[in-house]
Amino acid sequence: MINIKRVANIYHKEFYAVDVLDGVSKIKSFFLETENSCCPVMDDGKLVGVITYKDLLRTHPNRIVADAMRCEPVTVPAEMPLWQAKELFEETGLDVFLVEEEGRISGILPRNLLEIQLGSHIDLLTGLYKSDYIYYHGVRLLENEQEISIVFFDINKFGVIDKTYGHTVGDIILREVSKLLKENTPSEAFLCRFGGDEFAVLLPTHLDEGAAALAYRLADTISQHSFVSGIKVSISAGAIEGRRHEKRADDPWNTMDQLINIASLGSTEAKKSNATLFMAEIQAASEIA
Amino acid sequence: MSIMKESKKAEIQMHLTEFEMPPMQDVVIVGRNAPIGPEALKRMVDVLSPNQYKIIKVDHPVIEAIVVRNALMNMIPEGKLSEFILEEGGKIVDESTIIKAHVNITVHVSKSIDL
Repeated sequence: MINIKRVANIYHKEFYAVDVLDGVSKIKSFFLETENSCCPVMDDGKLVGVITYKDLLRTHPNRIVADAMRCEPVTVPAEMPLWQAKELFEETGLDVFLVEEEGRISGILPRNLLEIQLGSHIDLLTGLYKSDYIYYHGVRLLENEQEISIVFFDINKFGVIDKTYGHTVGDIILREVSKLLKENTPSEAFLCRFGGDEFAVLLPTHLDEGAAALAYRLADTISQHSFVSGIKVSISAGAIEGRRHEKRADDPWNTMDQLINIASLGSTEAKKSNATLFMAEIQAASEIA
Repeated sequence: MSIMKESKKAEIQMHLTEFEMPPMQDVVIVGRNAPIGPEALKRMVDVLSPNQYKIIKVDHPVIEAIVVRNALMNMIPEGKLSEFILEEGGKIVDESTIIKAHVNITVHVSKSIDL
């Protein structure tokens, strides 16, 4: 099973707190000296806000921290997955969260720290997220009792392309395929480079376009594209569509593992039979937990 | 050989005026980038004149907040008063200024009664 990183793995457990009556200039110097970029603000022993370096920069230096800080700080549990924290940062527009562990504030999570960490979850060649991205979203949707579909793609004869034209050309093709997939995947779906020449899309099933339609459309887009050196590129897809009528069993991670595996085997099957898509079906209720 | 004579003089001037209590009048308008923020003003006022002023944070491109003497809001509803202050104050305040304003309110009441 894939290991999803959580806030607990990265947040700063050692942190400073400043007083609400401290001057902005003083805190700016303090941040520079200590290489901090944010900290909680206390008033008479009570947490009243957080202040970041960005807040200090946009505030008159004569002001006190109370007039520069953000009130009502957001506290997140240490066990929150990093992807969820990222969504929350985007939703709130904040630059720092407080972290709670065992019922007390135990540290801070600056946005830039999270972004650096998530950078390692982005594939450097294609700029796409790695597989844990769709695992996280898949599990989240399953836990919310939403049905999901997985479409798994791989590039046909990519090994031959690599050997015939060289790895540099192979890399260019991977980048171009990724760009096409990214541009043509619905905004509510989740795309990742699974590894090598393999890509996966997670779709919530309430979207207008189902897994099969999406697979055919993306395959069509790629086959019609003019690639470097006039190389013909096509993809095979395997898909599995969730249409369950009974409540799923408890382990959504296991369900994700199995759905991805079925879709991946589907793409191999499609390739073997020279088809664009192999649509896998759930054979029995017990097949997927 | 000539000897230069040097002399230094200091002139002292002192202006005495009564310290205003509190050092603000009816209303203070605080610009978004003023050197003193609304929270600092509130704390100062609360120490000097407890429970006499209220801070109203406003959604305005230039003004961050207005500090209003509570007594004024007994005469006019807060919304109407802040709307008036923002309308007039917004014309002269810039982001870095703090303006104090004297506000006189006269309420005219006319009533006819049966004799």
